[in-house]
Amino acid sequence: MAERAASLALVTQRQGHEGTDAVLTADRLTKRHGPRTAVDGLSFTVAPGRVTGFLGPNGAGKTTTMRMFLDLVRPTSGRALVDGRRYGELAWPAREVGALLEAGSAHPGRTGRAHLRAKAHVCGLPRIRVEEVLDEVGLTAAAGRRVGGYSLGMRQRLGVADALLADPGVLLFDEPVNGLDLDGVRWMRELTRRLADQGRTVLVSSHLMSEVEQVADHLLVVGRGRLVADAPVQELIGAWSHAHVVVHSPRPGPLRQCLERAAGTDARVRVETSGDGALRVFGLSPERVGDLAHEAGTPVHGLWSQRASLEQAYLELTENSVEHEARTPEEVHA
Amino acid sequence: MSTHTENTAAAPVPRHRALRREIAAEWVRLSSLRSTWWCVAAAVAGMALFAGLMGWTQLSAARDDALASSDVEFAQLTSQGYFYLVQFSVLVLAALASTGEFAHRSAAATLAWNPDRSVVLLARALVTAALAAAASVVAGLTGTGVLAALLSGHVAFPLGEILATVFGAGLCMALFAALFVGVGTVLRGTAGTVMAGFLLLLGLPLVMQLSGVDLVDDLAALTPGLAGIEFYAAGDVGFYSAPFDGPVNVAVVVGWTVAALLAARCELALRDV
Repeated sequence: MAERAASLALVTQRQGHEGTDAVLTADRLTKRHGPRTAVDGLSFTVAPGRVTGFLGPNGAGKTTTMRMFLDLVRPTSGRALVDGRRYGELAWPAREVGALLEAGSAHPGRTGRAHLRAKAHVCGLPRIRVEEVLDEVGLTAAAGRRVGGYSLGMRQRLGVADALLADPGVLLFDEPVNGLDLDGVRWMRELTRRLADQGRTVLVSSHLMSEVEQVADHLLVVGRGRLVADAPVQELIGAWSHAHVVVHSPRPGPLRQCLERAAGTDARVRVETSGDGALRVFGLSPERVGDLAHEAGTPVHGLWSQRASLEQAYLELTENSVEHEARTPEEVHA
Repeated sequence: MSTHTENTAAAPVPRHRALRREIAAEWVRLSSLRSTWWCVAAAVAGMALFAGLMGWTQLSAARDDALASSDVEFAQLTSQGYFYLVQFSVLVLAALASTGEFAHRSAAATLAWNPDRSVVLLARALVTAALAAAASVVAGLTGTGVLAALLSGHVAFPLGEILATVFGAGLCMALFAALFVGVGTVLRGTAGTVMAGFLLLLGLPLVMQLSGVDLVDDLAALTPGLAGIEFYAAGDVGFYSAPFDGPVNVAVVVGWTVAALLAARCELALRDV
């Protein structure tokens, strides 16, 4: 565990503040609500042309951080900058940054079309742009209905239309797939990918690693308001997957001794015994483990290579960072 | 989708143009809600109902005693309609305009679109005030029409006096709308804003007048409701004698409005959305 943390720390240090083309910059960003610290000294940059996943459990500070980029929440200390300036100091903020905030940032008594028309006025855009973007998100037929009658997925689509309306170069999507059906999720993934491929800066928050894994090029992982990891997705998998070989034997003792003898002084090789008696061998190939078992003369009932998924890596990264954790009845009564 | 590059080089928007755009957006926000039109309808219908009841009472009195009925004051009756009914429709209109977005969390979208809080607040106050003024003038003219229909031939019809009351009330209701946009922005809750408005316009001055202390009784005239009616009724309120006459009354309402909007601006700067 300590080695993994060290390897990840290297990844974090290498990636943090890297890149002079960063569009979004969080600089020691901190937000406290009374005694509770929602965001704790967060520093990272987000570059254009790629999808940056902003990942963390519920309550990790993702939404608060995004709102600080939009000047909706004032940082207790530190800065959240867009193109090196505070959001409010941008020449025309709504045309430069588009945001999908939580589903429900449109008044339920207003129609979807009226919601977008109000923004079109602020952005100095023609009415036709409202119709274009409604068509793009598939809401044309429902645009004349009041938002209160929309499903959660429709409200998300309206939020996406709001974000895309002014054709901005920076997009902040807060939990964009919440409430979307399977078609909607696929549409959202393709849209996110396309926006990044067009050279835009795209920051997508989620508490679902499985979702971010499919779309993000780079990951920022937060837990309890702190940055836990800042790395390209593949590098994160590499640093945390720790491929190992699982070997089942009715006589694990002699096999373990043989494996440890073979490892010698190579610090990369180590052997652990899992709960079910199987051995987990790190740093050796499955073929080498099979050969060593044969040399030791121990029977082998099972042998396979295993890679941890990114999801497992995420769970390990944030295992001490979950704000709202359910407990089993046994834990409650302990 | 078009490319985004054209937006990144956008020149800063002059503030007066930003205000004009925000006013247009605010009008869409306000006019697209059904509750807005219910408030306007309540103001007009309330005044018509009040005028009908008062007109019927005066008509009965005129039939019984033609000499006494000649004392009937159109402007006084109309101003009482504003005081007892129309100003509360304006209060609810402003409360919904300013607090609805916080209740439904759409304030985040509004302030993300335009992070200049001064422009957003000013646009909201101006649009709500303009609608309140227009609704109040229509309500006043409707009430006057109802009174005229019932009492024509029995009492004199002083057109100049009536118009002064109607347009004076329109100005006053516009100020009330801006005042309660400010209060609503500070409180961020519809119920609290309506309650505060009710107390400021009616409850508080009545209690102050009941106190029996001359100083407190005089200070009641500095509450926005009583100062307002003293202004638009041109000193002929009918149920109350104010210690101050003339423009000081509208200055009092302006003072309340400016104070509320300044408090709202500070609140928007200090409190997160």
